[in-house]
Amino acid sequence: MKTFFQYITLAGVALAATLACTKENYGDAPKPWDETANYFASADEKGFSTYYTPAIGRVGDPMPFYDGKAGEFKVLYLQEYDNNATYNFHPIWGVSTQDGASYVSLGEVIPVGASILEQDAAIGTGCCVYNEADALYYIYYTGHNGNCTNREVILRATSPDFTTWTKDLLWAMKGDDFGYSKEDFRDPQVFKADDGKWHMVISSNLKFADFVSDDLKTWSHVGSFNMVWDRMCECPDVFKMGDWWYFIYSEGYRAPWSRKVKYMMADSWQGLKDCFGNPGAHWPQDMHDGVLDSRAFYAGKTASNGTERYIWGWCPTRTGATIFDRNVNVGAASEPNWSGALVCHKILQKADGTLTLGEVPAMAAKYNKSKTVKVMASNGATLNGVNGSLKGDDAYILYNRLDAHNHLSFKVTTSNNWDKFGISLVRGTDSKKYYTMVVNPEWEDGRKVNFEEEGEEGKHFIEGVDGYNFARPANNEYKIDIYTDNSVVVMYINDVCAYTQRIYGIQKNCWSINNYGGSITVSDLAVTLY
Amino acid sequence: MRHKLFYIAAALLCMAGCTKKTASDLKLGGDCLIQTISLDNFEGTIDLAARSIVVRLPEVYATSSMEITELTLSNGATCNVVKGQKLNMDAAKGIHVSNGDAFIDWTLSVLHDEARILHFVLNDIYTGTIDQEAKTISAFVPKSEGINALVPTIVISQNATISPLSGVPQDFTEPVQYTVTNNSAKSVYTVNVTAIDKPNALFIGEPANMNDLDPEAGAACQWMLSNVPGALYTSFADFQAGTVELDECQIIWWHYHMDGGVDGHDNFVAKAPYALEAKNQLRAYYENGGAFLLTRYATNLPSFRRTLLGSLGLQHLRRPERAPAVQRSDCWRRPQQGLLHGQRLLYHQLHGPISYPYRWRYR
Repeated sequence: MKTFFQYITLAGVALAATLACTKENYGDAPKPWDETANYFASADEKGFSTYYTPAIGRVGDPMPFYDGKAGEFKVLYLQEYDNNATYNFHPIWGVSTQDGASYVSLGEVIPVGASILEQDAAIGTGCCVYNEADALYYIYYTGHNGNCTNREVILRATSPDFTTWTKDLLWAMKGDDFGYSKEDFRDPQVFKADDGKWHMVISSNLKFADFVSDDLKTWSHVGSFNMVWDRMCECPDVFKMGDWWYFIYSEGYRAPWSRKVKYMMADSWQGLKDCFGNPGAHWPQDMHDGVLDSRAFYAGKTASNGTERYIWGWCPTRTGATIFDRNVNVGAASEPNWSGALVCHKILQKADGTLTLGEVPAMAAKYNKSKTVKVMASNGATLNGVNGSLKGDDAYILYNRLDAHNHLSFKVTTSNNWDKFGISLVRGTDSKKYYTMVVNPEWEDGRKVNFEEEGEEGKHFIEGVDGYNFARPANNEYKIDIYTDNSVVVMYINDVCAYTQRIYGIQKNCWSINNYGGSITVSDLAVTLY
Repeated sequence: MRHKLFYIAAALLCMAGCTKKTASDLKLGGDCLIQTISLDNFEGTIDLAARSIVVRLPEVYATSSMEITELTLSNGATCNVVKGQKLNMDAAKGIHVSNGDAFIDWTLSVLHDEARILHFVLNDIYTGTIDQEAKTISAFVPKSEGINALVPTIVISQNATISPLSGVPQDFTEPVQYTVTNNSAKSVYTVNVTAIDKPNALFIGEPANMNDLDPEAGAACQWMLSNVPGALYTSFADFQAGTVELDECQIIWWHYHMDGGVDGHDNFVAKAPYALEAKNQLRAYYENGGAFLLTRYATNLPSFRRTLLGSLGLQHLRRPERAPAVQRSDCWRRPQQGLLHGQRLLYHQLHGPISYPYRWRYR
């Protein structure tokens, strides 16, 4: 009996000894990140939580709407996988968000048809709207299947509670019944126009279609209006803000200057339709023909909670063997990859009614952990803590490594109307290639964000992913806020410029502010993260 | 004593490990079959292996609102549609039948009785052009084939029957009528075959049979044979072998397409060697006053001018020796495609006379 107790005691001691081994005794020692500035081959997290990306697959065309009953935004989107089936793909999934900065997944909302013969074997984008008259949520969407007589048809599904959805197996709207294409009849967007009635705008073959309804159920054809010349315009969205009506669309033309989200503005729904005049188009008078962002933000659609309106689009992933191949593979002459991360901006309306995209208010509060900024290297700089002035060619200040989610905030003041500066990411002291967003003086009073691959092996200006022209600030002060979530980066300048881009390798690498020839001052620099 | 304690403890441990369940909680015992289903009282034919049901309808019948007039499932099964519900059957519908935790996804579709000839080929080579509106089929064969005993291979609509039968030799000296029947649907097609000994125009391509042309060239060839009287198809090989009578041939059209393109000298040599092999015959035809219409990647051919035309340069193509016979025919009056009425062409570069379906431009 005594020996038995001895066994127990031994066992107990052994157990205690095991539990006493802490994690610190295992694995590599932590890397001295802040002591080095060479390039590190980092990787993205599996899913992104700010520029939302699911852990598996990617976000395609978003369909945002404000759910008044639940008091939150819901952003439906087409779920894309690497291994989509041939005919059955793009089920509608969803996320909900209170503030456009953090998201909760709702999972699958509308599945695709199970058979390769069903009209919605594949799904294209659409919209969601709540009908108070019958207390039902309606999702109007595109059924896409080349095996069917009509390749694209408008379909719908309803739900009383946004949880259980019933596809309407009787209702379908075919383009050729109204003189439109059988092949292209998609992206239905429902809104209330200035005649007080529900309207649905649909993209067809180089023409938009306008339908009207009193009850959100039975639709009659109003007429068609042009797209922009011979460019396919998709994912339309229509809303009123203040005194102006706006028409947001994604111009799908395959050229380096196209594949962007743009808008038209007018004083009425009919006025919007007239903007797509024949022969030309009546652009907003905003210096950049209504372009809202770079081509790294596509399929943008909006929703408002009554106070603020946000726009959601996707920032494409890029393909390539290495991150250096991917970062320049922007699809210049044709189109970028389809789908990626969900990016949200706020719609800013100027006094003259023109629009720009700006920072989502909740973002600054989300990135609330302060980070100690350290200068790792510099050239041509007179430093003042982490701020300073830069003068001459190839002047820069190189800062310590970034994390997976960063908010970079600083002010650049140029000494004259021609100075040029830029912000580089993925930049190690040994990097032969790194990536810069250059604020380029296109002309004395005009600026544009260019994307360049700098470094001795860099390809310099990368065509196809530059931003739009905006006015040089009168006082030459540029207030810059940059948000990153893994490889998605968004830069806002002075509420007049928004620039979205996909740059792989940001985390765990240094970054710099550069000066090209002139003289600039960097001030108020801070980095926060979460 | 302590050994006994040990063994008891060990036995207790083992028994604790053996209380795993062997039965799953999933309810998989029920069937998920559709036993009967009818739409507007038309009964569906159920194919369990394919998980599909086809409801056959008369030739003309509206499908956008059909009522489920009959629906019986396996015992205990439920599904996403109910008897009395109306379905839009313009496209197939998925019927999800579940029973407990098991389910089957069925595909329900309709099939109109259709009595059509979809494809008509004589002697495996000469394809007829079908006018579905007029219910006529016209085919051109070289005179050397003979017209008294041509063998048609005919493809007709699913479930239909045809008389006379496909594969049976026919005398096409006079037009022949073919009757296609499918339940309530019936069509009578009149087939006209013309024997041509000297074609007026040729469509040339690589395969022996025009059916084997790529879709673009195939459509171009169909258009030519339907719209240009006395037009025939020939292969480069036959052309090279001299089996085609060229005395009255005004023009040879070659439309050449390959996915991925065929740009550049080397690419062309690699992908279209058969065209270059016929260079002597092509040159002889040209020097005798013949004309070429070269479209799509066939426009690369003149770059081999030294091969084709000896020492002649591109800008100085020699005028033919004998006076050209002026061709006045309505079939040339297509100004939008660049063919000018009554003019002899040397060669004319067109980029596709066919209007492509819109989606090809945005691929």
